[in-house]
Parts: sequence; structure tokens; C-alpha cells
Amino acid sequence: MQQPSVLIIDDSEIERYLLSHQLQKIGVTEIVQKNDGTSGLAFLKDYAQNQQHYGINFPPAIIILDVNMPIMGGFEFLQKFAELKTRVDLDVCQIVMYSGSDDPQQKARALQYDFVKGFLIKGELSTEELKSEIGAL
Amino acid sequence: MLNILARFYIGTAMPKREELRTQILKKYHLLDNDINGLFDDIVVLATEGCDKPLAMVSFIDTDRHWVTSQVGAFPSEIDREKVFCAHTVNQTDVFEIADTLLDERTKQNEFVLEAPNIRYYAGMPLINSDQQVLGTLSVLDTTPNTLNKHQKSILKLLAKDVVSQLELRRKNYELSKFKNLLQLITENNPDLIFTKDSDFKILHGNSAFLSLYPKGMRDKVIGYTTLEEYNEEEAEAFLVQDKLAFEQGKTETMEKIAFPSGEIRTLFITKTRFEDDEGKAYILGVARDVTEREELIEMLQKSNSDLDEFAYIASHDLKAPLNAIKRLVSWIEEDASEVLQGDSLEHFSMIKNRINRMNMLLKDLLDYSRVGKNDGLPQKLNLLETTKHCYELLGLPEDFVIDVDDIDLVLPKLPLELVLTNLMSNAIKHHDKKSGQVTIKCKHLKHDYEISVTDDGPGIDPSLHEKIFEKFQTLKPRDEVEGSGLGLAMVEKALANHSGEISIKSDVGKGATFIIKWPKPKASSK
Repeated sequence: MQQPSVLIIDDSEIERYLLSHQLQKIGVTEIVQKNDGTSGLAFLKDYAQNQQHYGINFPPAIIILDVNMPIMGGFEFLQKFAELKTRVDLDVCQIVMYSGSDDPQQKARALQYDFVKGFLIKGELSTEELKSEIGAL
Repeated sequence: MLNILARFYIGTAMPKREELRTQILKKYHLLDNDINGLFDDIVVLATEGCDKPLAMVSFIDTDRHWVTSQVGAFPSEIDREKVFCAHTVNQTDVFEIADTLLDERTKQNEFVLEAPNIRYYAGMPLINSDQQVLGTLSVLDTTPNTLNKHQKSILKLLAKDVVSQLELRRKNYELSKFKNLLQLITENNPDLIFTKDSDFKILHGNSAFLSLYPKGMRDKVIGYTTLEEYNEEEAEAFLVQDKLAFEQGKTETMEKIAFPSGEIRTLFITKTRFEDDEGKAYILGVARDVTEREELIEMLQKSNSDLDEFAYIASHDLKAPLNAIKRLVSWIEEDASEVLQGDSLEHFSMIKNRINRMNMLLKDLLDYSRVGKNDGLPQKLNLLETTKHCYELLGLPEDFVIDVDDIDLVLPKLPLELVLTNLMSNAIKHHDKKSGQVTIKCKHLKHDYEISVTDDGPGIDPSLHEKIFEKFQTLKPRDEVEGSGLGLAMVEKALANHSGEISIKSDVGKGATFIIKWPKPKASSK
């Protein structure tokens, strides 16, 4: 089975490291890491160039998005992403939130976007859970 | 004649009440000069009404006797020891001597034997409402005489009139004293006190009120609205509360007011409508300057929320790297399971144990900072059901029995669950036997619910009862019993948010009872 390509947007290096380590364990090899919303968004905007560079793996099938980040946080990213989606073909992208907080209000707010498919809690996520979550998408 | 009366007095001991009388005279302000001549009309009426040539109103003091109004020539002041009145003063009715030469008490008196040769005397005591004798109204003649019934009535009536005038004088005096006192209170009150008429003109303002205006403006306050310089819209806005007070009779508001001095102050203002004799309406305003207080409250609120936010963010941000460490350690453990042995294995387990403890501390710290954040409104709850829900989440050991009153109460759900969960968890965690019992009872007091949680565990030494509610306080090393030491602190904080309190009754070996007093919510907040 073809493993999806994943874009990780998180400002914490260790979180990105842990997550990509877990992803690699379940067989995901196409991983791009960005450290805040702005650079994540810029990566998606650079459509033609990245498509050339990454081929079938662009745009990423799954974006794992942190909530609290400097400059552009997760929620601002979601809003900008929705705008960008009207101009660029990003239909393949599905977003999974990756938050340090289990705040139900935050979760409900994120899930209002139809392209947000999941809400994972940092620190509680086991490799098995990640596998089933990714598999479901 | 006064000496005659003085002679009447000789031989009798001076009654103690004479001193009292002095005080009474002071009370009526009879020691003032303006009393002289005050009763001139009455003495004239007395001579005419009683048909006698002489009359006087006199008052008695311990050392003075003096005549304030008279018809005929009498000394205005005479030594007390020469003064009479003993007999009249001890009477309640008209005291009469028909012929002074025939009366044993007066026949040797110099005023009888010499000029003005008084031969007749009749006196009516001046008795106030407290039945105290102040002096006399008397009529006199130079020939033996008598008063008929009608004349006696006139003398009595006039004496009564003298007393009425004195009492009125007293009341006026008291009123003016009272007025002075009120003025003193108003002037010295740090609150701003003012009155306005229905045209919003300031009629009166105490010095605190006036001091709010710049010095050059203070003579343009009384009699002005002080809004003369404002445009119509601003003035309207300023007068909204005044108008409401006129309409409703009373308003209480917190107003931020920019004064002509440019300063903005926060005032708590009470305005009360009152009316004068003619039904004209006014408002009385009392304003307390609460600027500093409000600023302090605001600062305190901010610092409290900063502190909560800090605890939240700190514990939150500390958790992330800790979780990363936990994960990395578990991976290393997996990868190196074959190489790790002996001490290294032991060290790994110690690391994992400390990570878990740190996690729990952070979780509790986070929970503590969140206590009271989303308590929700009071709702009808069943104590038994609520408790069950809590201990199901706790994972109750098999041999523990929880006995709960099946009783309904109205309380916010989350803090009640927090309190019950923590107390039950403590009872189980710190129990010294394998089996145990926790009893939860609730009494309806008049204003409170009294919920008690009793266990049959090891108990707590009374010297430690205060300590257990402190933050991060544990009674046993964390290596023996895991705990952040925040449980009871959280319980206390949750209760404090609802004006509740918790106390403990316990002794070593006798179990422990935690007693919660939780005020019943007011009907309106249901």
C-alpha cells in the first residue's frame, strides 16, 4: 500500500523529531517539516515548483498541525489554508491537529473546518494510535 | 420680699436636688443674659389677672437667686443663702401667705418690716415636664390680701406658660446644637456630599465636594449646575443619573467622572430624592471616591489571573518536553532491552518513575490553576449518584465499601465532583489496611449543606491538621505514597470559590472525618 506523504508543522524540534520517528516506524517516509504556520503555508503556495520537486507527494496527503506556534499559529493557518484552497488545488490535503492541550473548545473550533479530520494530543499519542489514525485517512 | 422667702428657708437643710436644679437651669440656658425680660409680658398679665400690684418670675440656683422679669422694684440677683422658695419649691400648687405679719415664718423679715413692706405673698412653682421645679411665678401686695379661685387659675396658667416657653427654648437650643453637629459631620466627612434642586443646581456641597473643583472655580459651584461650560450633549449625559434619581427616588451607581481639574475619578454615588415642606423635590448625593480601591481591585484581579495563567502555561510548557523525554526513554529502553541490565535497568526504571511523578505534579498543578474556571451553575444532584460516578473513575479497590446518603442537593456539579473525588481518593490512597470503609453523609442546615466524609484509615495527628491543606504538602515521602500534595489544596480552593469551607476531625488510629460546609445557592442563582 502506498504510504501518504506528510507535512509536519510544529515549532518544537523535539516534537517534529518524535512525530517523524513514529511515522517512520509505521512506514511513512515522505515527510516534510516546517516550524511555523507561515513557512508551512509558503510551502503549499509554492505549488508548481514543489510539484516538480516532490512529484506525486505534493501536495501532502496529510498535514499534522500544531496549535501553539509563534508568528502564525494553528488556527490562523487553518483560516489562511481555507483561503488558499479556493485558489489552489489542495483537495487531497487532510489536516490533523496536534495539540498540547485537550481543551474541548479548541477541538470543536478546529473540527469546524471540513478538511480537519482529527485532533491528536501531544504526549498521549502512541505509535499504534498514530498508525490507526493515519490508516483511517 | 426675697429675704422673706429666704427666711422661710432658714433652719431647713439644703436639699440635694438643689444641685440638680443648677444643672436644669443650665439645660434651659437660663444663665444667659437674654433671659432677662423674657417673661415681662407674663408678669404684667399676672398683676392684672390676679389684681395685685407686684409680680415676678424668679429662678433658683445653688448660689444665686435671681429675678428675670418683674413688676415692682426687686433686686435682680440675691445671695442664695438669703433666698426663700423652700416652701413654694416644695409645693405643686399655689403657696399663699395672706398676712406676712401674722405668719410666724415671715413676721420678722426686713422686707415685711421695712420697705417695700410686703404684706401678701402668693407663688406658683414652675414645674417642667420631668416634674422638676425651676423657680416661681409670684404675685405680691403691700396690704394683706388673698387670691380667689379664678385668680389662682390665672396664676397657674401663666406659670405653665413660662415653663412652655422654657421648654420651647430648650428644644430650639437642642435643634441648633443638632444642626451644628450635622454640619460638623457633613463638613468633616471624606465622602462628597451635595444637594441639588430640580434644575440640577447645586444647593450645598461639603468641603470634600468643593475641593474637587479648582480653587478659582469654587465660588461658582453653589447655585450653579457646574455644567454651564459643557455642551448640551455632555450635560445631558452627565445628568442621566440625576434624572433617574428624581424619577425613582434612589439610584446607586459607579461613575467615572472627569472633573474640571482634568482628573478622572471613580465615584460610587448614591442619590436620594427628598422633598421640602412645599413638596419641591431635591436630591441628596453622597459620593465615595473609590478610585484607588477600584484600581487596586483591578490590579489584584489582573495579578490573580496572571498567576493562574502563569501556572497554566508553566505546567503546560513543562509537560511537553517531559513527554518528549518519556517517549525517548521508552524508545531507548525498547531498542536497548537486550543490552540493559543490572544497575542500568534499575536506573531506567527510576527515570521512568520520576517522569511519571513529574507528570502527575504538572497535571495537578494545571488542575489547581483551573479550579473554579468552569464550575457551571448549581443544579439538582443526587449525592449517591454523583459519588458513584466519582469512584467509578477512581477505580475503587475491591475490599473498599463506600456508604453514601441517598439525598438530593443543589450545587454546581464540577466542584462537588472534584471535592468528593479528592477526599475519597485520599481515604483510599492513605488507608493502612487492605479493606476499608468511607461514609459520606449530608445534612441540610439552614444556610449550608454539611457534607462529611469519614474513613476508618490511620487518622491524622491533630498537630498536622493545618498542614494538610497547604499546597505541595504530603505527610509521607512520595516514594511511599505517590501524590503531588495538591489534592486538599484544590478542595479548599474549589470550596473557597463558593464561600464554602472544610475542616477535619481526626486522631491517630481513629480514622478521619472531613466536614464541608457549603452554602446553599441563593434561589435566584438556581
